[in-house]
Amino acid sequence: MLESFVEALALATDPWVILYVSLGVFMGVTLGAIPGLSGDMAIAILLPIVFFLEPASALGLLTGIYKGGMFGGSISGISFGVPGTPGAAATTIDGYQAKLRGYPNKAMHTALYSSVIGDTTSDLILIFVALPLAIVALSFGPVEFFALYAFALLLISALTKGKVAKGIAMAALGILLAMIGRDPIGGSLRLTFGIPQLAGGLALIPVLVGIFAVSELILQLADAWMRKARRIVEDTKAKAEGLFEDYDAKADRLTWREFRGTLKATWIGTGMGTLIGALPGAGSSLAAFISYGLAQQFSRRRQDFGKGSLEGVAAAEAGNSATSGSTLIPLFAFGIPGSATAALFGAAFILMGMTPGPRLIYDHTAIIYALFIILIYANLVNLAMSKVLLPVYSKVAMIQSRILLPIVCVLAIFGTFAAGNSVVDVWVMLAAGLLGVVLRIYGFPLAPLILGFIVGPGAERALRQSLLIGGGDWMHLLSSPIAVGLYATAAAMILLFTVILRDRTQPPKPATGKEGSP
Amino acid sequence: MKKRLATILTRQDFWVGLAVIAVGVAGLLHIAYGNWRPGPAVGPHAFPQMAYITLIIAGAIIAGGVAFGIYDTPLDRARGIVVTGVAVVALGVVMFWLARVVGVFVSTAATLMLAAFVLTPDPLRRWPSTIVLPLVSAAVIYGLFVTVIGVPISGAILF
Repeated sequence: MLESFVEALALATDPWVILYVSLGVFMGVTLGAIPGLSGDMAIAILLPIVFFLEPASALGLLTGIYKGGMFGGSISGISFGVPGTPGAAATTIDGYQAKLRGYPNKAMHTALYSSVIGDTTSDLILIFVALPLAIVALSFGPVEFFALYAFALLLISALTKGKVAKGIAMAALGILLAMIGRDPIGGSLRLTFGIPQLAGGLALIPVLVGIFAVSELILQLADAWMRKARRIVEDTKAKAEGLFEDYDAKADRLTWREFRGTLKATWIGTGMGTLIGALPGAGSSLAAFISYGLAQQFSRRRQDFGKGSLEGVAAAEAGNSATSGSTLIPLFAFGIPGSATAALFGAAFILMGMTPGPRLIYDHTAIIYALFIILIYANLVNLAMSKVLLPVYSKVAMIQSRILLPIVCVLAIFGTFAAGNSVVDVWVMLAAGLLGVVLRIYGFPLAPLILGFIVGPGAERALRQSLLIGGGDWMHLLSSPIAVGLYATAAAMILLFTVILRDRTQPPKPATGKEGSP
Repeated sequence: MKKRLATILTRQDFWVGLAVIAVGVAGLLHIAYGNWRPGPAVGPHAFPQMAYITLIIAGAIIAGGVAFGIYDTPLDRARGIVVTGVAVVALGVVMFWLARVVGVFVSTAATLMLAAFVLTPDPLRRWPSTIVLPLVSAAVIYGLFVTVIGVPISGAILF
């Protein structure tokens, strides 16, 4: 144990790893600050690069991007009322109002400190909870694992944007995409429709990059093409110029007293964000809005919410960022990615030859401990770098997306090709991008599709093993109390989140808010 | 009743639900009449069959939900997005094909310049972002993928 920790410490504090973490944070905050681009997109596009880096460096880079992107989204939200990422939408409600009232610096610093507090706490929970849960998971058989996969699929389908039927349809489609190729048990070909190139199945990177990044890029390019993005930026620019004529920079400094006043909201956000982040599918957006709603309920100045309240900024940002560590708990403990970001991290593990699941910590102890250390100090890098560069970052948010989007698109194409040196992967990625666009247009959530694609093969293996053990009796799937408990919990949580909590936490609309995707 | 039915038929999600059902039914027919091998206990068709049945149920809920007022509003910019999507994919295919013929640098620079000219109002006046930036970006992409990573894109006559 101690030996592994020392080895992990050496890995995590290697100068190259620290450099990659810093580069990742810089990229994450920069991309997060630009409306339309996000840390997730950067992770998806950089996944092929994982092949060419040492595992600790690769994980450092991805962790840095993730953490930077979490905070970066709030910069353009506060500066221009345009959330850089969907998770920052709740921060925009009070953040942009704070800016309009002449204290953007206070709002940005509140967001930064709350983000780092929420993120660090969530990481600590991950470190202390993942290991005991992994020990429990090691005693699971195929019946329990199938129930767990079904639990994750049901929950992520139901909670993503609250579209239960569309979410479930997407999970089923993701499973079907994963079934293309050879049957893992019998070896026969399935769903290849006579195309020999599909015999090996669809690779993870082209599907992930296509569905997540390319489809989002196409939406953003369509916006740029229709000059909508330009109009928004010019509009906010004009407002900003008018507003800052009588701006008093000296008065706009966050005092210790003001910071202390936001701590209660920060801890509410941290608690809710950590809890919700651990649930498959709930996501940072929901966590931020629920945290915002709860902090308002428990605030002495609840009437200030929606009018530039620093408590509102703190609760939303802490809730958003506190999902970052806990969203990895299901991945480490059970091998089930609970969110799009966790799915991307899962894909990175697979690319590095590590299988996500309860054995991950035991089989790759040093690397995983190194990741835990990186998770913690990446927050400090994020704090230091963002604090120094905040004035620059608020200008970065003004970079025209028309300049960056084509470059990101080209990177996605060559990156996908570089990952497998396969031309088929490029065509699959472009086709997945078009599929993603069509699904977004018709209001289908994409996270369940990716989860279905990733856990599909494992779920099938667990189902068929269960039925082989049970002699083909489907009731055998209900033979374990843990499995029954998981099915019941999934049903209860879907009910709780879709009916009860959603109604109570309907957020007020931000002044000029705009989500990055439809 | 007739009026209500007519309203339902105008909702996009009703047709979306029917399309989802159609995919599920087609899949089940493929399993029933296609070349699927049997397996022990449950064969290779069992899990896809479950997925297709799930699709049919989900499609029915999506289409049926319209009758209860549960539906998504269609995107007003859908046509523009689809056109952009097809254009991006076509451009991606052409760029990748060109990369194998004239080289990564030339194909990337040409693609980025074309995109910049299409997306930028008054592109010649903004030459730094429409001409210089694509050239610099193409050089960086060439350096990263060809020099550093060494992707095997052969047949290049330029670079």
